[in-house]
Amino acid sequence: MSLMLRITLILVVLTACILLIVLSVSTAHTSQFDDEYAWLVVANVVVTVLMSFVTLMIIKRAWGRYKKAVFGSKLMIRLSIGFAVIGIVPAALVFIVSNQFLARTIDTWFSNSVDVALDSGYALGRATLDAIKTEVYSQTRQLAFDLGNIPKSELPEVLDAMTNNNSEAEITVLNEVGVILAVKGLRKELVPDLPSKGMLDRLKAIGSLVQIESPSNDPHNSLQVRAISYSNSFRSGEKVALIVQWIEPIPKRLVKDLEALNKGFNDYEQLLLGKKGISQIYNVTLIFTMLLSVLGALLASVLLSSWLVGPIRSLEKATKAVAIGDFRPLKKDKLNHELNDLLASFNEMMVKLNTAQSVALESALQLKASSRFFEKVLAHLTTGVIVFDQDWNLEQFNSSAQTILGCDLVNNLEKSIKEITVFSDLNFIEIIKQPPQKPQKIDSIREDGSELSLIFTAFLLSDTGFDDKRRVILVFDDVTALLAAQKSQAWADMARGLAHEIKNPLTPIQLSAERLQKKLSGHLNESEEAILLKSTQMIVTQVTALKTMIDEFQNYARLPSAQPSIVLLDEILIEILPLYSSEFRISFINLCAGSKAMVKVDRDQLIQVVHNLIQNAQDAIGSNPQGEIKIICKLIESNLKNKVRLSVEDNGIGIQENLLTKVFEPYITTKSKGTGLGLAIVKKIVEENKAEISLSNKKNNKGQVIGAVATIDFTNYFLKENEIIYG
Amino acid sequence: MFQIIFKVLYYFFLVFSFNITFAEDDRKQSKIIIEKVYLIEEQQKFSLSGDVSVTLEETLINALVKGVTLEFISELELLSARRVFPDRIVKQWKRKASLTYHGITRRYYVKIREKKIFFESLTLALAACLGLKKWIKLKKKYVQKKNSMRVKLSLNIDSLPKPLALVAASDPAWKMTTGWVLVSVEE
Repeated sequence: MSLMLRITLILVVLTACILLIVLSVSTAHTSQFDDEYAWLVVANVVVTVLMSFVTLMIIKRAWGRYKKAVFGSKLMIRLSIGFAVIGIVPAALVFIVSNQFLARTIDTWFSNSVDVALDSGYALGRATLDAIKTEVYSQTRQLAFDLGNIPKSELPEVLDAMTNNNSEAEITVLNEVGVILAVKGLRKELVPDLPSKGMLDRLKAIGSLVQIESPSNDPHNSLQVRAISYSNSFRSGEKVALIVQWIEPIPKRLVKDLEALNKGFNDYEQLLLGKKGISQIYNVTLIFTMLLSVLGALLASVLLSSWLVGPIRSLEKATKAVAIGDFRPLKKDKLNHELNDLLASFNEMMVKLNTAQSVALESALQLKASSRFFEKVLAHLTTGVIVFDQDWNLEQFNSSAQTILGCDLVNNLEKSIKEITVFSDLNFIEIIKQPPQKPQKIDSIREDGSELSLIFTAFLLSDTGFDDKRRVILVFDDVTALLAAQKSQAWADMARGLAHEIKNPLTPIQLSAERLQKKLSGHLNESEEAILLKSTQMIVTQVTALKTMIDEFQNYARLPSAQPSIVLLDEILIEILPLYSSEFRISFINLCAGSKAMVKVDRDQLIQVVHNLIQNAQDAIGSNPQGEIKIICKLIESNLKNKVRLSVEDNGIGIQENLLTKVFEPYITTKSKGTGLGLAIVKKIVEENKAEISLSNKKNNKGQVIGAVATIDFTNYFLKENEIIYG
Repeated sequence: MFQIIFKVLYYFFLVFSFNITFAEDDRKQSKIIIEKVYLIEEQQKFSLSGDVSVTLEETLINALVKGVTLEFISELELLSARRVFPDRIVKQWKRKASLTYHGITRRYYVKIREKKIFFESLTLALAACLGLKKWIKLKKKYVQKKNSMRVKLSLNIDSLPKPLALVAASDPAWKMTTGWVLVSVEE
């Protein structure tokens, strides 16, 4: 909850409580806050509206969380409803009961008997005063009448005599012009309380008067009866009328009782008049009390449940934080309750988890380092290693395996061993039956068509400790080059042996044949002469052929070691190509002209190789009158290492597909007169000069063979990139 | 749930408002009418004078007889005219007179400030409370052509005991006021 909302809440609740208390005090003591009551009601209305707004805002906020399924909101809503019911139901019951109770209580204030008693007392009071008035009035009239026959000089004595029994009354006799003739019962003031002009006017009008009034010396606590009457039959002979005034004080005890009665009557009647208002006041107070209680209960329920759910929400957040590796401890509040204990336990658990995670992380790092080490070891092995699962699906491999097999094993991950071209024909069920210490050999073809010979060993791993699956590990080495070298060495040994064994008898054979022809020539008849000539010539020819063949054998077996030097390819070609200028039926296209590509090779051996390739191309073109030999130089850029490539292309008949992989082996030839050692020697020379040679067919768009291409890739080259000409 | 709470609150508000505003609205109304009010020059001063008639509805008389004190307020305002804004109040005079009936002695007494006067009749008592004659004498400086004066006589129901004041607030019988009446000046 924001600070602003908290402050607003506290202010609203405090104001509501204060206003409610003031309203209650004002209701209980109707004389207090008389003038401010309306403002008090308005202030309560404003605070109620404000509190309603704040409550609705908080409820809306809680409801919004519930709709968004925020963690803990469901529990909070349930708790809120529970608390609200606990708070609101009693408040509503108290309100209803109080309302009923109030209505009946107010009714009990006013009973008919009290009403009648008060009316009677009131009437009695009036009657008492009336009786006093009547008595005073009649005494005054009697006195006025009696004084009519009494002389003026005797008035005081007579007055004393006539009113002897009344010591409280003040009796004054005066004439119309205001001259006091006699006074009896003067009070402390020693001056008689004479009638006012108004009274005298009324006296003149009606002849006599009587009234109850407050005495001037004590107007608040005393009452007196004043009776005034004319006495016209005055004997003194004066024509001025005589006025008798009788002022009779009403006993103080009676005045006090009458005032109390009057006050009680007035209060009761006013209460009766204000009955509806009282009911309204109490109702208003009750309504505000109930509204503020209900709103307070709602507020309290939401806030209390939010407070209760707070630690749970913190735990949920902490759980998520733990999931992403944040182990910061949760904050506890200052109160002592079980939720704090729970938070403490959680914090303790997080500390332990943090420690465990650190250890696990360290172990994982060590494991990773170890794994990386083994991966590096495997990557640097020249031996291929492949791991298959129990169903012979590829799981892992090292880089050497991919290099040896000449295919992208990444694409074959989790695929069957049959998807790997080299192993497609492998009887993998049988090989696993062989003992692991017994290496097995397989001859296969790579995806690019090249031959591949592998020596491999298969292991079955049943208990890796990693999982329950069994695995097969295939460890293999590429022995293609080794076998080829062995083969080449075998051929060389055989050629050396043959040359030694065959060449020695050839010269005596040739010499014997020539001698035989010379000795017998002219001693035989013509037909026999012809047979002899033909036979000796054949012997010489065949011996010569055998010598040539043996020379080639010797060349193959005793190929001198290369003496590399930097050679400009263009110069070599300029030197060779003119030798073929007499061949008009074949056009030579030199795309290396002007090229500055230089390679480090044995110059003579390179010339021999180029001659051999051009001659092979000529032989392939045969009698085709539109023969074409194209020589191309270009830079081959690759991720591993750039190369300079020299290609000799022809538009001849091409090479039979089944011979493509064997053309560099000795005694493999398509020519009727060839020894089959030309390309073998070429390959040997090229490899001696640390280059690579390959032979392939050139095909058109329809896949038809339209010639052959011999390619030599030099890795030892020197060039200025901008000066090379690309074919 | 919110709708139910809102409806309950709205119901209470309506009941409360209805009780205060419309209860017993069909009763007769007591009246104070200023028949004529003027200032008359007497001895270098201007005296306020005029005729006032008062009709007390039975409810008020009943309340008075039952001892309720009625407070009447007489107000006189001196206004200075302004062109755009409402007239400015230059000076105010106010008189409060409370009228009470003593049932046992059958007397009315009027209290103005601290002075208490007894009357035998209601007419005289009302005249003492609301009479304009001899109420106020103004210096000449206040009576100018640019100034105007207005007077208002009313029954102050706020002075009643609170329960009765609540009842009176919703009872037209208790609403007694002349409204503001302009005072003329007689030379």
